[in-house]
Amino acid sequence: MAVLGSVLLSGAAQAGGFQVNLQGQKQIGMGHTGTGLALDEASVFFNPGAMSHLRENGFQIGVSGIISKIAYLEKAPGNATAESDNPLGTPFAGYGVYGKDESPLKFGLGVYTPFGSSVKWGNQWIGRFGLNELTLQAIFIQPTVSYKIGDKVGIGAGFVYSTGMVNLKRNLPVQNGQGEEGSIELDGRASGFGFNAGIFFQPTEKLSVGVTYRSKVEMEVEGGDVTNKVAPSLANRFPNTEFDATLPLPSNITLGLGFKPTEKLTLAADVQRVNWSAYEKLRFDFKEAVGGNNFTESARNYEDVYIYRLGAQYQVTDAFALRAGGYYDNTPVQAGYLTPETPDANAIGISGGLGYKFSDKFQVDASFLYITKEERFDEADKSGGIAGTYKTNVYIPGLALSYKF
Amino acid sequence: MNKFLYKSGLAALALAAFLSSCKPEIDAPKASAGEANFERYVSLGNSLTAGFADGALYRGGQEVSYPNILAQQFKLVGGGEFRQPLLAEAVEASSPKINGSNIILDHRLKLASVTDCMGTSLSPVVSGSTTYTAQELFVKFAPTNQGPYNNLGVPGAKSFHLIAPNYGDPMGIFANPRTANPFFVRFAASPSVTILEQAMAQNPTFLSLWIGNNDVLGYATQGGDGDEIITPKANFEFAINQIINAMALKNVKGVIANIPDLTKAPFFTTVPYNGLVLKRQGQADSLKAAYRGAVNFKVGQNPFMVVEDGTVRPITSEELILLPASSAIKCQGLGSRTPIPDNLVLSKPEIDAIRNAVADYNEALKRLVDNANAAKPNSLAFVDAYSILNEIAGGISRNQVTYNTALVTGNIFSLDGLHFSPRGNAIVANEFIKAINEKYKSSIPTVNETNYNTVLFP
Repeated sequence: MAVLGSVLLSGAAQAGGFQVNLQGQKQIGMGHTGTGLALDEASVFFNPGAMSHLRENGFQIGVSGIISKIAYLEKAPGNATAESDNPLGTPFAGYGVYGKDESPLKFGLGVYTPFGSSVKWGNQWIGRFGLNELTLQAIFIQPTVSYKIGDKVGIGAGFVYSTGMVNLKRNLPVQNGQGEEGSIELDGRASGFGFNAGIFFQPTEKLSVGVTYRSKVEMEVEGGDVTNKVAPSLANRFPNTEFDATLPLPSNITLGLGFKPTEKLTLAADVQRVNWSAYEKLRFDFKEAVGGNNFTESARNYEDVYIYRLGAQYQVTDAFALRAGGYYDNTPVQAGYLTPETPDANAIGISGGLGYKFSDKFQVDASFLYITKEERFDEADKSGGIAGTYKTNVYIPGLALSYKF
Repeated sequence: MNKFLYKSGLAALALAAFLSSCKPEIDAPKASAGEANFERYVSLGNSLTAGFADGALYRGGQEVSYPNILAQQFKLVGGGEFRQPLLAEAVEASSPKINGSNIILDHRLKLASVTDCMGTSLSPVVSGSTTYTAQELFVKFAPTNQGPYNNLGVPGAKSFHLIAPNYGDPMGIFANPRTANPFFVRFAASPSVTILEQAMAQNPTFLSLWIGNNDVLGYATQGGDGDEIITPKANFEFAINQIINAMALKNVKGVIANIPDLTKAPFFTTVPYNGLVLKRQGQADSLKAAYRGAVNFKVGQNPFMVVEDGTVRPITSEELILLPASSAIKCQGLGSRTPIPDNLVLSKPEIDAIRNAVADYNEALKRLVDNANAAKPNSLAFVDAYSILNEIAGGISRNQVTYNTALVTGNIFSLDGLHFSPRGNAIVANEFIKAINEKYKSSIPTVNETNYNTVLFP
């Protein structure tokens, strides 16, 4: 897993806050709905309760490529501009589900990247003393059990172990004899625990409902590396040292609805509440004072938000399915709190997808998601941000292979 | 099926290539000159206008003078070429000290590691000095470029010097008292021309004026106890009125800045009043004995001892010690057994005199600007430098950098504690731009201040 993690980077400022909503290719094609459906192995994430309703055992592995660009314009009358050069984000999701024939009990394992961010502004832009580059990554490993109660109800729960890393670079406003600015880099590994639980209820052939709760995970960094580059005469004031930090990954509760008006058509709707208010501040505690400070802290004060999703799948032939969907994602970032690490805004996502069964066992699913965030101006005076206007566009193609047995 | 995969793969690649080129764009407001014309911009002022910094005029400072930054932004809205009387790279010129027929110019201050009685620490140090004969001076000191010069800022100039004939006459440098200023002599169009005349001869379309600091600064930097007097308000007002009238006569629009509270500059605020630290009771007792029991000292921080008007006493928290006192305080016990002399201290009455003069000048300036605008709308924009410096003194933040009026760490002032750093100049220039935009309905972009240096560390 460590190898995978170092090869595949997650996320790139694509969902509200730094949540990554790319956890199943079928579901992405359908506006990332799926809590109220027993669609495939991705139920490990979307609704562990629905897992026991899956008809076959199987596993799948999927990956998305996040191509994101953020434009920046300085607050008027300034006119400095910048464009982030974000590395390609490659969040992945792998799931396996297994149960004995006719057994109400199923076991599953999910490895996925529900949070992450990768933003690179570089060390030339006007906000470089706020941020040059940030990489956040969280990989969740979730063993899961699901139990089918009668024909209509399923319950399930999984334990989450999260492993990840944070890397943050910014310039320091002190210059050496050649005029070169100093810099600081924070780099650390993080881990945390949590759980994922869901209930699935299918009263009729046509209708299904699901509720999933994913707990908060506190990602803790202990003894991360602080590396400073400054003029020689300032080296004592900016020692290389260690830092501790805690980053909360917020809890989510999602209510999902599935409806099959015909044999071929599946409709889905999800409402997701993300409890971002857990993210109050970003604080780094230093073992030795850096620039005379034992810590840095900036307020975040995110607010809880709702995401509304709609999706549809149409089974054109037995082998071929088309999907489409969309969602509206409210930003958790309040006015005054915008930061270059997450220059977030209300967003609309529009997705499409297709699936093809090569055989009864082997299937390919592809999706494409386009996200456009509202152009947003913020004074950024409460968060230690950089005042100005930000605008983000994101393109996310994705592909998954699945195998049933 | 392979064919299908191949084709869709190709399509996906083409799509990805297309999409990655679809960048988000934000429309910036279009720059415009509004109701002003920046074709020929001329700046008038003193050392702040000339680009004097770190105790000297030098090329690097001139290049980041606030008028030069303004001119660079004016070019975005039709502004023309802006020539400054540039010094040769090798010449760095403090206020000249005259020694017989020679003239000594110190080089600029640089931050360096200094080892003294307290160990090694970073301090501003004069990086050298050069002695010139009069003939040499005017060769070495001459601008390296041709005029006419748009930046007519003259270090040391007071308000009335802008209208003083012969202020650029080389003969006047050695007169006693001195009647000319070598910083004007080096680029004066003729020995007799006034700075204002030289400005108006260029038929400027836009003019900036920031003068008056020196009318009170000389008094302040001498601790109120030297030969420099505070220019009477009437004389200041007369000079400003002359300049505004000359502008009105030729229909020249412009911008005028008022005078900041000098006592907020690090030259006056770096040495704390109660920096006399005693570690043991024995020290306090023997110091008390040295002053014959007239003053009580305690373990910890005590006010420095000063002489003001012949009286030896502890300084009060409202009074100020000048920056040049700092090294003697540090290593020669100044302020302890030896009181700090009069000329390195501003007493309460002296501070009041300075602040009152600044208030008087600013009252006159605002009134004259308002009158000019009443006579003819859109004549003069006004920069409230007084309020701006007060705000900075309280601490401000721009783009995640904090600024205040502390020496070195405050990022605004250069090492001399009186003149701005390049970053300080950029922030000042942006305030001028905001005032101009407001007055003339122009939209001149401000500069990215982070591209300008703060103090450099070795």
